[in-house]
Amino acid sequence: MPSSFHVLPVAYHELEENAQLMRYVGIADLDFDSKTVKSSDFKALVIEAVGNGATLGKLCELSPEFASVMEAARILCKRLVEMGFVPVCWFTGEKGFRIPSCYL
Amino acid sequence: MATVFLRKYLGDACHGVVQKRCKIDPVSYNVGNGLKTDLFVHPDTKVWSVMVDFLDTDNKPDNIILKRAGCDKELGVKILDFWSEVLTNLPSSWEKCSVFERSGVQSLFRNDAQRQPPRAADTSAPSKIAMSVSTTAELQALLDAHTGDSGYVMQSRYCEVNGSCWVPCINARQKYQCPTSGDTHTSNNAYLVFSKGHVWYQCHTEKCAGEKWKVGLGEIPVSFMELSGIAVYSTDAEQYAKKVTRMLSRELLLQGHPRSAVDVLDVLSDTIAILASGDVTAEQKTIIFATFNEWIASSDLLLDNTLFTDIDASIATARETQKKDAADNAFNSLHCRRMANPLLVFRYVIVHKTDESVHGVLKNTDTALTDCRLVLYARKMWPNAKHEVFTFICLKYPENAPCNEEKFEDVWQIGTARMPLRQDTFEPLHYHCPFFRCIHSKHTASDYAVPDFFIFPKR
Repeated sequence: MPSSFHVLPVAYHELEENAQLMRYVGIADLDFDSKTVKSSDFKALVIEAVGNGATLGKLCELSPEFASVMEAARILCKRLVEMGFVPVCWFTGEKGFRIPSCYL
Repeated sequence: MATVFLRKYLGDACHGVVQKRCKIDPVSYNVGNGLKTDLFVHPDTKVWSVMVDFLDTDNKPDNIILKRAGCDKELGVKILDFWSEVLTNLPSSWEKCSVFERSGVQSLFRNDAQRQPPRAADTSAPSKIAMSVSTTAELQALLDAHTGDSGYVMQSRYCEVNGSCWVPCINARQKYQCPTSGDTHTSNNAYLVFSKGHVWYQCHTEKCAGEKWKVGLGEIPVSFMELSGIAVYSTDAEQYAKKVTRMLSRELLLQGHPRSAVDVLDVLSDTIAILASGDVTAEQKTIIFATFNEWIASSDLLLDNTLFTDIDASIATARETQKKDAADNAFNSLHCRRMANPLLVFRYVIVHKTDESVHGVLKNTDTALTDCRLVLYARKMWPNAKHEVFTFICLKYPENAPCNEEKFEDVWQIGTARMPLRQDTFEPLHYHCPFFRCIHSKHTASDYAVPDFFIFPKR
């Protein structure tokens, strides 16, 4: 499984003025804010939940912050579908989701 | 992803809602490292990344169990699909695109020396070949079995130069434990290498220099051997026979139907040359010639059976007289024949697309250019996937006779030559392999590689 996506090393904001962007492939990283919930606390929660055989749904019940992130991921995916894309979303094993997509 | 970009393309409303519910982290691209994707097991929680398909009603969060034994293969396939789609559906204006002059823009490269134009192909330079998700996972499992929490992650591509292969490993966290010395390292200097039928871990850090820096992890996974052809010329006769049997039978299964008696004899001659490169086992002969006979039977040619007598003597003669590279040449010949006259035509030939599962191959089959004789291939490759193949045939070839379950069952069980098809699908299929279409695109040859099916053994 690829660990990294290698792309043209030109960031969107670095394109010259009036440059035409033909295709952009990006990856959205959605996490909850570590200021509201400590990352270490949430990791501990995940480890405990996993040990108890929890599902992703159960994790949402245990953490409203995480549930909020998942809802954001769902909304983003829905929007991408409306735009004609087929988004792939994955839970990263900790506090967030990744969603790559491409834009023409 | 740049915020402005997200907002512009998603629209203010969507962007606002998403931003309200979570933090949209910047994912910056680092030259040489790429983007952090978190597609592996999380180093702290030990939870594997898992796909969440919000459109799939069966994939509800309540049904996704977090504790997993390994990577989410479906997610891996989806990711590969995504990138294949990106790379194969470039806008037409792409061809007219000129090189972006970056004057006035801060270069991401350290100096101009790193921006040299591409050099001519260097045969001593390693080629990078992508591995399937399952092969990568198998290698990862070997390392994990040795050192459960090493922190190393296999790259999904292996390098090859002059017949030697190695897989670079990267560290998934800042510090990781070296399986060689047990020391903690912070740099990427680990590789898996392959020799004597085994996978070896090697550490090249300065710390480990002078130490015994090679650790055996176990036998080379079959899937990697098939991809790289690395063990085909093993001195182990039995292993060699098994390997040749699998590769040759698959090559025969994928051949388009015979065109003439001369064509049949050419394929037979190649088959004999390949078999003569090692000791032929009874099992090997049975499998190969059953496949060969089935291939002959897929045409209406009337052939004299005497052409195929005394095969043993032919193999023995070939073994004594043929040149050392005869088997290589024969594989090459079969491969070229298949490229011109294949049983299956694939939609995507980017190696990332390679997935040898029944789902992967069927999905990747171009049904407009492949007739439903692909059942003949499927029944041999995935004998337990009858229902899935039948469903696929019914869906993609609704007007063909094999959609009748009883007739399909006949074909599945006996691989009949009289496979019921619409008459027009018996017409010879002359088409070029999509691979050649790909290499005319803007990408370099190294961007594309042929699927496993097109790879024949190397010395």
